[in-house]
Amino acid sequence: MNLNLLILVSTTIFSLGAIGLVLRRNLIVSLMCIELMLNAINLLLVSFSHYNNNLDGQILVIFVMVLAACEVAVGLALIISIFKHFKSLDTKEINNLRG
Amino acid sequence: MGFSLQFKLENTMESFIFYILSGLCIASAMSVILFRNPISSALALVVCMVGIAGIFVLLDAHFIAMIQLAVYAGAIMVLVLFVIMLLNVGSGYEIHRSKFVWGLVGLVILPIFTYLFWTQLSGISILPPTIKDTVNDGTVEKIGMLLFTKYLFAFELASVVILSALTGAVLIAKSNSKHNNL
Repeated sequence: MNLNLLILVSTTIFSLGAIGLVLRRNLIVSLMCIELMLNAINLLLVSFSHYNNNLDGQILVIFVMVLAACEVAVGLALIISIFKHFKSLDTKEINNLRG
Repeated sequence: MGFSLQFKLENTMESFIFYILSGLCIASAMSVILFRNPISSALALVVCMVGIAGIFVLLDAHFIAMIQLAVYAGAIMVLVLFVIMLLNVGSGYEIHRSKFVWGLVGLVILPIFTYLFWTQLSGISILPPTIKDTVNDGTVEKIGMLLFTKYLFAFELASVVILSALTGAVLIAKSNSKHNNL
């Protein structure tokens, strides 16, 4: 359980979240992929905080969680509003701003 | 070649649990983007978050692990599941056809990125010699002392952010009446 292995796990989870954000077309799954990336960053912050004997990283994790909760609340409200308007959650069909 | 896989197979119980938890996290993160039903991917995301909370416990961050379980796996995922069941979206497996190639490119880029990161970190010693005599685990007492002295202003600011996000979410979700069309 050295630091390189933790960085490898965190990078893999972050990349999986980014790939899912590009690939999936459901809006809710896109939001969950953003949550996955935020979790990977939290893991990286806590592991560096542990190996540097510094608690400031864990404080930063708390603020990341606060912002993630706000983002989920506003994002789900937007998703409900979009679903009422377009009757769909497919990002291929929500293209009113497309030139 | 400065790339050496330093899997020092420490046969301790700690590293054994760490391998199990990290494998669980990566497998469930894969199944988040591979399941075709959004409810299944939400439940896989819950498994990933519980695994990350276990890794937090292994890293002596007990308070963060508890917050991770309560906030992420509890509140946020219940909200996401509630919205999925409220909207009753179908279980179609939609993938961007044109962007699928770009996803494969990302899968090729991922080992290169990891390789660069790894060699960079093994060359430069970011870590101090980590004398662990000062036990610096994230208990509630130490986190609370730091949060209410050094980071007090950011803490108060976070409460303002939460309040504005709460009112904004209610406003956005309500403002779809007849005269106000989105």
